[in-house]
Amino acid sequence: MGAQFLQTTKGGILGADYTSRAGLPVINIPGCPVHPDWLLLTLAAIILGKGGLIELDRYNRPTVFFPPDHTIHENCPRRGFYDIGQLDTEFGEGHCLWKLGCKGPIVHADCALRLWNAGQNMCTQAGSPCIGCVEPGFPDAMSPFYVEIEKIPTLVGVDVGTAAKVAVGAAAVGVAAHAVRRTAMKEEKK
Amino acid sequence: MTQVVVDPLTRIEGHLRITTEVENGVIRDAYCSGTMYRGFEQILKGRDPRDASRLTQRICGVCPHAHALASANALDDAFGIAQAIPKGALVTRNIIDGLATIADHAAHIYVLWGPDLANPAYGTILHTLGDAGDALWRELASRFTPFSGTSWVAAVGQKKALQEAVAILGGKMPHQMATIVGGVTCKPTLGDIGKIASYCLKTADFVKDYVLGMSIEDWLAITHDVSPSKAVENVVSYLSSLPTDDFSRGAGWSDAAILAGFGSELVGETLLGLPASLKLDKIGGYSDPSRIGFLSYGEFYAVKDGYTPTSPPGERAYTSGFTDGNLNYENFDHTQVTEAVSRSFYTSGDNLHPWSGETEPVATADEITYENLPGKYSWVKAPRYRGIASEVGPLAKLINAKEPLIMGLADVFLKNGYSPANVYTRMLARAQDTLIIARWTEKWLLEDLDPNGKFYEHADLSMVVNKRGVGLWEAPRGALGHWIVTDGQSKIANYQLVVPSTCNLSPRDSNGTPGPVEQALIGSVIGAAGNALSSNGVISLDKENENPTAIFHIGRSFDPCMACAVHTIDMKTNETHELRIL
Repeated sequence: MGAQFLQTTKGGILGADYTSRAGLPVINIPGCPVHPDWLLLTLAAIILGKGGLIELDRYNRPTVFFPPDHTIHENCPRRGFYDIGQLDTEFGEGHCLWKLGCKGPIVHADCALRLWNAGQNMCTQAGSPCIGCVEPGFPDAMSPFYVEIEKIPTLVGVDVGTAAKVAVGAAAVGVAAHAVRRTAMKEEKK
Repeated sequence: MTQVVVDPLTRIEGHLRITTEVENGVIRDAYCSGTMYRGFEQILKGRDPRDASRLTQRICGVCPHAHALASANALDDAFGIAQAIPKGALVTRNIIDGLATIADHAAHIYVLWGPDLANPAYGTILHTLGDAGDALWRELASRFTPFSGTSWVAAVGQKKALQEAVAILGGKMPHQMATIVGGVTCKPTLGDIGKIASYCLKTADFVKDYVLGMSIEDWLAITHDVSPSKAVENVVSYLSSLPTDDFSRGAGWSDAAILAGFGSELVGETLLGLPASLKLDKIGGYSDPSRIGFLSYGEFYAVKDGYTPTSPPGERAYTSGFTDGNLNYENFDHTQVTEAVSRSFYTSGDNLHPWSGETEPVATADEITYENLPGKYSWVKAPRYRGIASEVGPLAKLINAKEPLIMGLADVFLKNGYSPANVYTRMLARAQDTLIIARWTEKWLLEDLDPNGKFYEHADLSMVVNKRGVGLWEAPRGALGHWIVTDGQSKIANYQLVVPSTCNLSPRDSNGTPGPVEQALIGSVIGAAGNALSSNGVISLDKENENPTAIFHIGRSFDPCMACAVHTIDMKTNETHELRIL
C-alpha cells in the first residue's frame, strides 16, 4: 500500500482526499530507481514556491516527467529501426527490441530524452528491453520482461483487469498493428 | 553487566540491531538481529526465470550488479549454456562488476566506515598526546568528517563518476540492465571503451592524490607483486620513511598510510615506534579459530569462452575457496553451503542446502521479538559452510586467493598473538581489493574487450524445463550465491539467495555457535577510542557505553550499506543517546 494509492486505486494510508498544508496531494515519483532529476526537480519546484504548477496524471505522477500523451518508445534512440521494421529476435543485434519484450511503447517517462547517470545512457540504448519500472503495476503488470507485449495475456488478452491494464492493452494493440504494418511494408520492398 | 543496544547499526538488506552485554568495558556477549523480512524468495516463485536477473537486483541499490551477475550465472547454469557464453560477454560482465565494485568500496571505506575515524572520542584521546596527537586528530577530522572531510567529498564524487561508467555498458545504475542469461545485451563500441577509460584515468588520479600518494601500479609493485613477507617489509619500510611530526598529505601521509600506520598497534607502535595507534588490530578478531572460517565463491571470469558454474578452484581471477580459522585452505564445494534457521524467525527445515531451501516465516507477530535472546531473534538465517560460521568479504576473498600483503600481515599478526582477521586487516583488504580490481579492469577494458567479438549466446525457455542452476559470485561485501530450480512449465519453482550479509550477520545456529560478527564482537572492548592509548580512563566507561566506538568499527568493518542516525540505549540509566553517524 502506498501513501495515497493502493496499487492503481486512490486511497492508501493517507486516504484519497489528503492534501498537505501547501494544498498538494502526495506526489508519486515512480521508477526503480527514481531518476535523481525527477525527484530533485520536483522538490525544487516546491521549494521555489511553484508547487501549485506541478501538473499530475491520474496516478499523481508529475506529467512533465511522465507525460500521459507519449511514451518512451517515441523518443527511443532505436525508434528508427522500429519504423523500418528492423525488429531484433536475439540480443546484441543493435536494433528495435520490440520482439525481445520491450515495454517502451506502453511506458510513460522521459528516459529517452533525459537519459541516465548524467546523460550517459538508457536501458534500450544498452540493448535491454524497457521493463516499465515507472508504471503503477510494476513489476507484475510488466512481466515477463523478455516476452513480447502481445504474447502476455494479462496485458492484451481477455483477462485484463485493472484500468491501468486496459490503457496499457489499448496502446499495445495500436503499437502492434503499427509494427505489423511496418514489417509488411518492408517485406513488400524486398 | 550493562546491556548496550545499537539499533539500527546500519541499513543493509534491512535494518541491523546489535545487542551486547558489557562488563567493565568489555563485550561479553553479542547478538545480531536483522529486523526486516526480505521475502524475495516468495516474490520470484512462479515467474519467468529470466526475470530473476532484473528482480533480484532490486533487493538493494548498493550492489545490484552483483545480484544481476549471480543470477545470470544461476540462469546460465540452469539453461545449460555456461560453457558457451562468449568471451566478449564475460569480459563485459567483468568490467561492469569491476567498475561497480571499485565504486562500492570507495563509498564504503570513505563514506560508511571512514567517518568513525573522525569520532570526537579520538579528538579527546589524541589531545592527551600533545602536539603530535593534535596533529593526527586534525588529519583524521579534516579528511573523514562527513560532508566536509576532503577525502569524504572526493570519494562521493568517485562513486558518482564510476556509476556513470557502469551505465555506459549497463544502461543505468543502480539496477543495470545489461547482464542477462546468455551474456550481455550491450555491444560495447570503441567509443564506449574510450569513455570508460577516461573515467578510469580520473579514478587513478583520485587514488594517487588521496588514497596512496603514489600510482596504483607503484603500490601493487611493492605490496602485491612480491612475496608475503616482502610485502609487509616494504609497507613498514615505506611508512618508516615518513615524518613523525607532520602527518599531512604533503608530507606523504596518504589516507592509506594513515590507516596502515596509525590503524594498528603492532604495525604502528611496535614495528614503527609511533607514539599512538587506533589499535584496530585489537578489535573485531576471533578468539576461537575452530569456530570460524573464511569463505569465497570466486569472482571474475577467466578471459576465454565459457566458464564453470560451480567455480572450481583456480578458474576465476579470484579463486573460490574455504580457509579455516587456522588459515588452512581447502577447495570450495557449493553443496557444503547450508542455512540454519533455529534462531531465526522461520519455521522452515533446518540446515538445508539452498536447492532444497525454504523460506517460511513464523506464523504470528507475537513470535517476532528481539528481546527473547535464548530463542529466535533475527530475520537473518544462519548460513554455514561444512557447518562452520564463515566470514565473507574482501578479507576472506584475499585470504583464499593468498594475496601477498594480506597473507603477510595475517602471518605477522598470528605470530604476535593477534587474530589474523581484525578490523585493521579487514579494512586494508578492502582497500587492496579495490586496487587489484582497478588494475584488472583496465586490462579487461584496454586489452581483452573486442568490439567485434560475440556478446550473447541463444537462450530460450524450452531449455529450462525442470532444471536447476547455481550462481556463484562475490558481491563487494562477500560471497553471494543464487540457487534456482525450475518446473515443467519453465517457471521458477524455487529460488534461494544466500547473501554475504546473511553470512556475516547471521545469528546463532542450531549448535549455538554465534555468527561471524557476533564472534568478532565478543571479547572486544566496547570503547575502541578509549583503548587507543595505553593509559586508560581518559574516557569514562559510561561515556564509552554511550559512544561504543568498537561496535561501530567492528560492525561496519564487515561493510554496512547506508548511512543513518544511530540510537544507542544505555540500559543502566535507561537514557537514549542519539548520534549522527553520517
